[in-house]
Amino acid sequence: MTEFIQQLINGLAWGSIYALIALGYTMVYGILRLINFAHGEVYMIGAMTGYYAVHWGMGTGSLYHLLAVICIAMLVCSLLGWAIERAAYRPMRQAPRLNVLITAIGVSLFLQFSGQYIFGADPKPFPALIENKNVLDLHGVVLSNIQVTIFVSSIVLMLGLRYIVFNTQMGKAMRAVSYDHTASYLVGINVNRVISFTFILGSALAGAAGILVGLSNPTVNPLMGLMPGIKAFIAAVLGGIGNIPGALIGGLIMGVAETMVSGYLSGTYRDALAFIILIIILVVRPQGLLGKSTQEKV
Amino acid sequence: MNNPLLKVENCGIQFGGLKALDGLDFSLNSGELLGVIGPNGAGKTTFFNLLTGVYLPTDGSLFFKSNLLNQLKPHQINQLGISRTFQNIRLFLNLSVLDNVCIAFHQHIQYSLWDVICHRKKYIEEEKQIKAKALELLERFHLHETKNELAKNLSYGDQRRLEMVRALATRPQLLLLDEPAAGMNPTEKKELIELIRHLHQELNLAIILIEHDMSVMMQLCPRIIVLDYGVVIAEGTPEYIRQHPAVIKAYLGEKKDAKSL
Repeated sequence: MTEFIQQLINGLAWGSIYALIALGYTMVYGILRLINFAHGEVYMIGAMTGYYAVHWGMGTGSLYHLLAVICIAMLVCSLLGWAIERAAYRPMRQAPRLNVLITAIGVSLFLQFSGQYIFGADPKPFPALIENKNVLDLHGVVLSNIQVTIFVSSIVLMLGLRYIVFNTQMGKAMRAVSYDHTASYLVGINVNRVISFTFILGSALAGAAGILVGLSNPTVNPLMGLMPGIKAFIAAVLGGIGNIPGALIGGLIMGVAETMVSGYLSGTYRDALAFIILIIILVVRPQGLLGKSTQEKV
Repeated sequence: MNNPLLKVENCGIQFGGLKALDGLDFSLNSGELLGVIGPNGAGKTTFFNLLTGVYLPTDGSLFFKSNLLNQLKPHQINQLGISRTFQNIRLFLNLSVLDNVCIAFHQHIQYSLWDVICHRKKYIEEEKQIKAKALELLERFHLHETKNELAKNLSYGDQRRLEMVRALATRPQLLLLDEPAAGMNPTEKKELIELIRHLHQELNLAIILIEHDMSVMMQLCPRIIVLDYGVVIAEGTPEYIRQHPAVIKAYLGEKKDAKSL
């Protein structure tokens, strides 16, 4: 039982990182009907930003340093997300969806391999931004301060996202654009601006996820975005792509399932599991857990 | 001499080999109410799509308040002051009635994301103002009781009215109404006529109205344009239009054909 609860906690921590990445997939899909395969690379750039920020003189050790690094990574990633949309997807706005999808894969590969060229292919040790301590030890169930940080940051970011999407004019415009582009620009919404804004929001979340992963993973490398990117995408599909609460639930389920499998079966099944989930969900419930054909999409 | 509000100069659009609109040439003064009629496929909605920037004209030019519309994006045209409704209702059905109206104020917001994150006063005040204005508009159209309903749960007539409220919320000087009376019963039509008259007189709004129901047209529009196969075949007062041989021909066919049936 102790082990089970421990695995659950580890899984939820890992899952909230997936959820942060999945939110970016789901928002972009909601608004453009595009799977932005470059999203995993944005997350990689987030982690790299963290590495270089510390490498080039940011201090470590306190919560303030951690917050500062997260903010820098979010900033860099939102710029990157904006630039990707501007340079790669906007010229393809009128093109068939398959072309845009292939563009997305191209951007993803471009970022992976220019990452290898610029940063070097070797894994880099991610600096310990905060010292790993156990804050809670209950009959063998351990909760570390890193896990607490991951939980708190993802909850804060998701609540912030929720607030922006549901309470501000920009969020309302996002929901309007995701429903009907034509009607949106005919009531005076600058659709391109809303799309840029969506990319900025999603990429900022991925940037934060990159730092949070760096906290629990010892190394970062230019190809690290590939698997988490695909898994977060599967998490978004699992929850119902285009659906914000769906991305959250999908991410958490994905994280828990992975930890359980590697804990009770074997670590080698870990990556296979994601694809098994994808196959099952596409066969049994292609619209995802929370998705309906008439569901509100952002 | 005053410049007209809208000036259409020899305007046309071609889709491949098909001339959907050809040689359209007229002007509209501010506060004028103009009717556009014509058989199905005559180019009436295409004309609205040209005016709102959904399509770009292939010939001629469009001027609104002396601004050339040809190169503007649809949202820029809307910001200049042209707003429209649709033949098939295009509300944001997944949003609440209130949000549908609030969205139309989007172009006027001043605050930035930074103001939201810091929860600045500027942002809070502006959101409040937008909400208040939207509620005021809804109240004027007797839709305020349904403000928290999703738009898809409204009745057909209410959806039509909500679409008009949304169009008005962008603060237009020219309102384009695409078959607002379609599918309405006689009582609703009567209310609609009152509403349009009221908008026209009290807000001094220029309106272009597309409508199939001739009784609505006769009651509202002092000037009517008749389109057929993309060209203007007649223009004038309702009485004149009703007598015009070309109009009768377009709607009923030639006399010879009618007899042979």
